Amino acid sequence: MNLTPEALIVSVSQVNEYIKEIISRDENLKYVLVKGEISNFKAGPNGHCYFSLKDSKSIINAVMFSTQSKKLSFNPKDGDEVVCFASVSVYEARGTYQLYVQSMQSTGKGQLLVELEELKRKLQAEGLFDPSRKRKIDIFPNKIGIISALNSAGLKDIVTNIKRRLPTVEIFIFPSLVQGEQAPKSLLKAFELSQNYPLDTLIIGRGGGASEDLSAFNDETLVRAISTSKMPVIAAVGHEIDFTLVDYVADVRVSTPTAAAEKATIDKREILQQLDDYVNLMQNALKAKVKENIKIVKELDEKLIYILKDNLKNVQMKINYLNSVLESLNPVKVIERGYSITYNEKGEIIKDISQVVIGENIKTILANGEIISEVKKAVK
Amino acid sequence: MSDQNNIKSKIEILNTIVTRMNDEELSLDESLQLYKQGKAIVEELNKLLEEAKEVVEKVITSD
Repeated sequence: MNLTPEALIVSVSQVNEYIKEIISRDENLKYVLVKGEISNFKAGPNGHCYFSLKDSKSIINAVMFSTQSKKLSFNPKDGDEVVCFASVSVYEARGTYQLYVQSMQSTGKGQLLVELEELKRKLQAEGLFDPSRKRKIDIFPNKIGIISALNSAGLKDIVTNIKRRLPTVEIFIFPSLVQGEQAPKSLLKAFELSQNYPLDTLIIGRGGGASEDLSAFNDETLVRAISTSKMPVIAAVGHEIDFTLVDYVADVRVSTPTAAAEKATIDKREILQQLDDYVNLMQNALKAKVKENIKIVKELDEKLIYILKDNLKNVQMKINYLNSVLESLNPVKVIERGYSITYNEKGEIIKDISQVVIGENIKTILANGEIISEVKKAVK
Repeated sequence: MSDQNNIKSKIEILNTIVTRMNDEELSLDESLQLYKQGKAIVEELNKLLEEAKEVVEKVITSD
């Protein structure tokens, strides 16, 4: 038999058509009742619903067209456990098999969601998510650790943004699987390794994904380990609507890798702007103070001059007063008015007749000289 | 400050002289002596006051 390679080659479409044909011939797949938990539910504007059904081991894509979804008696959402009546077929354009759901019935919350909520309650009761345990992030870090998938877009985002915001930061990367069966162990190993480094902050991150892709971040052992972290932890797992237990145990939770970088560092431009603001503030305050002090000094100067002048005036008045009193007590002036003072021989001022003795010499002081006289007679 | 203290102490002395002359029975000589002493102090005080006024004027005009 002479088979040329060309004869063996088939197109991608041919492969998908062939598989679809095999599946469509299988009677067991024409009508199946599938029980599972809804995940990644999306309702399109045309009314078609796209979601996954999962259990603890597997997952399968599903679609429910608007003609069927209109008949639903409840609003399906992630975590709902449902039983779907469906057929299995191949979506040729993507080469995937999926459930084409005809009808759906809710049976309550899915087991996985129930287990997750139970674990969350348990850890919460132990205080692992307490706000009081949350530590502040140092926005001027020297060393930041990042646990993420190597070469992932999320890791690149974090590194790029940290370097742009604060180029002085030293970044330590602890590569890890972030989804799949081995992811919890891999994350735990990376976390334990990170604890040997003197980091200021540790970021655990990955880009968004379906909720089952984030399940590694709900691992109990990992969550408990993170609760003992030596340094504050920022969780950047998934998007705004996806919350994992790592988000709860972390000191800070953000929705994107970029936001993690923003939480972990201050932007150098912000620092420069703040410094500029402070300088302006200080300059203005200083100018205002100088202006105020100049005014005070001027006022004090005026007061001082007034006080000095007033003091001098008071002193002058006092001197003048004392001088006038002194003048009024000037003994010479009294004598000039015709009064005189007479001393006996003992040198006493004679104020009483009994102070003189007949025959003694007495001295009389006048304004312009003295008279020495002898006492001839003393009459009382 | 020393000028200020000087003026203050001289005024006190002058005040004491005036009080003594007014209150005590002094001899003419003593009165004359105190009077002369008082006048000398008044002269000194006026001189110090003039100097102080000059300093104040200098301070005011130095702006």
